Amino acid sequence: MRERELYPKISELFRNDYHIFFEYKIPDSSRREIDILCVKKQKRNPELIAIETKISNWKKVISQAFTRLFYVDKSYIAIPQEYVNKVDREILEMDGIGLISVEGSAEIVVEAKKSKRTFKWRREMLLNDVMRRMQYENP
Amino acid sequence: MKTPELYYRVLQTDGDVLKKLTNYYDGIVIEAHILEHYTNFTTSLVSAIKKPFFIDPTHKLALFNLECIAEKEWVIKIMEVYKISEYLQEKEIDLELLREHLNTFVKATIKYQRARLSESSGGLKLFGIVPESQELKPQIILAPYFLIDGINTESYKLNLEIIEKAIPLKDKDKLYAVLALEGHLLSKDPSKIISDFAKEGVDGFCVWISDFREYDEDPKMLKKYVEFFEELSKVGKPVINLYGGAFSVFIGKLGFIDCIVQGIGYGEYRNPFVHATGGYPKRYYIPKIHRFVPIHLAQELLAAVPELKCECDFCLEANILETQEEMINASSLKKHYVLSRWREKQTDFNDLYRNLTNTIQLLDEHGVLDKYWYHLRHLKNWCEVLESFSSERP
Repeated sequence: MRERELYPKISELFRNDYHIFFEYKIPDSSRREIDILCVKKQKRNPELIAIETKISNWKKVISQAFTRLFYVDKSYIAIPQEYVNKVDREILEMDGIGLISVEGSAEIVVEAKKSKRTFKWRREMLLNDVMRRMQYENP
Repeated sequence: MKTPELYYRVLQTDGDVLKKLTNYYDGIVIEAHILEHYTNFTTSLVSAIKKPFFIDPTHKLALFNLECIAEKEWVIKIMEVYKISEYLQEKEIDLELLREHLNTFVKATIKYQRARLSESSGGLKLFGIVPESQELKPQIILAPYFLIDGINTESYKLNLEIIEKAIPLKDKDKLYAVLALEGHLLSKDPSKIISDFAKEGVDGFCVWISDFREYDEDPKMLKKYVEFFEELSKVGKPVINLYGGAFSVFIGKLGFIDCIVQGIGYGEYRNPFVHATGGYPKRYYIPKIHRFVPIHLAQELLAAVPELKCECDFCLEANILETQEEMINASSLKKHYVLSRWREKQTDFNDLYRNLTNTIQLLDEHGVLDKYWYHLRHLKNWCEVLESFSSERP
């Protein structure tokens, strides 16, 4: 199984209320890419959610999800169901990172908390980039 | 307490920092190609800062193969001055021809170091600056050098021949032998190299371990690195590390390195096979973790671990936690770095070591050690190697 194969199931969870972007390149010098970026379907100050996926290495994916906390409102990790019990929930709890389990369908196991680490300007930069892209794609 | 001296390699973009912070470094190193490219700038800088300096004559010519740079104007100029232009065959220095005329080459490089700055100081008079001749005299002379790729190889023998030819030419100057070594040579017994190069008449050593990145090396290689300098220091002559960073400061505090050379924000290692061009990216030096990180990472680390913040005037000015990267003033970052490195130099080894272990604990408590492992792993590696030198070891 590849990470990308998880994307459709995860996006089902958010599709009704959010615009979904896969492998979204953050427009700064970090060269980071958000596996799944969800942008709430509302005009004013929409919520931003980042979801990082991994097939097995949950420690690595938590590090990625942690760095996303500086850009978005909420950050999740998404991994196959068989690894969910191996994840250290205390580490998730410490930073308010959420957990999504993926098998036949995706399910939120731990709700993400609103990030206390978000840099306002990074969030704005990302949001402005998303808005430009949406305008360009759906003029 | 041993205190290594700090010298900075000069770049034309660092003049302002070097002029303003003269109390926070001990001297400068001028690379011959910078001197050729920015002659007036370099001469006026040396004259303005009134600090010791020396010239690195051949660091850009350290390989015989000059394929990537042979057509650069400054290479052509330097080769003419060193009288080796004619030995360049298909962009490679012909070793046989060089050997035949080695005396001429060595003489020319030594003459260049002695006289280039004073010969070019005429232009300054137009601006009313009349440097004293002593100001433009290098502190030491380096024997020209090439990268050594193995013991008893052609390059090894050539470097020894060069030193032998340089010794009778040193006159009243201090002559330093340069050990420009490929990294794998650290794994060999250093005593052979050291005894071969510690010739009578050599007044000190400059060391360049090719592409040795103090942040990335594992404890085994770091240990070899320390042992090499320890062994070399036993000769009893000054040792200069031509490319070193914070880990070299630790080694210097142990008394194994007398002087560390680096650029301001770059040049803590150098790979002679890579010819970097263009400016270097903005990076922030986090004093407690003793390394530069990209700005976006610095912002995250400082936000996650407030104890990492530096309160120096330059950091307050740069305000990197609340400023977008493109708006951050590069000059403030450089000045903060020069100040931080100076503070490291002034700190006792045991205090530096204790701070290192405290920082690891701090990062762990905040849960960031694992998350930014790639940028922080050196702390544990350094601790492992330096532990045996600390009076606080368990």
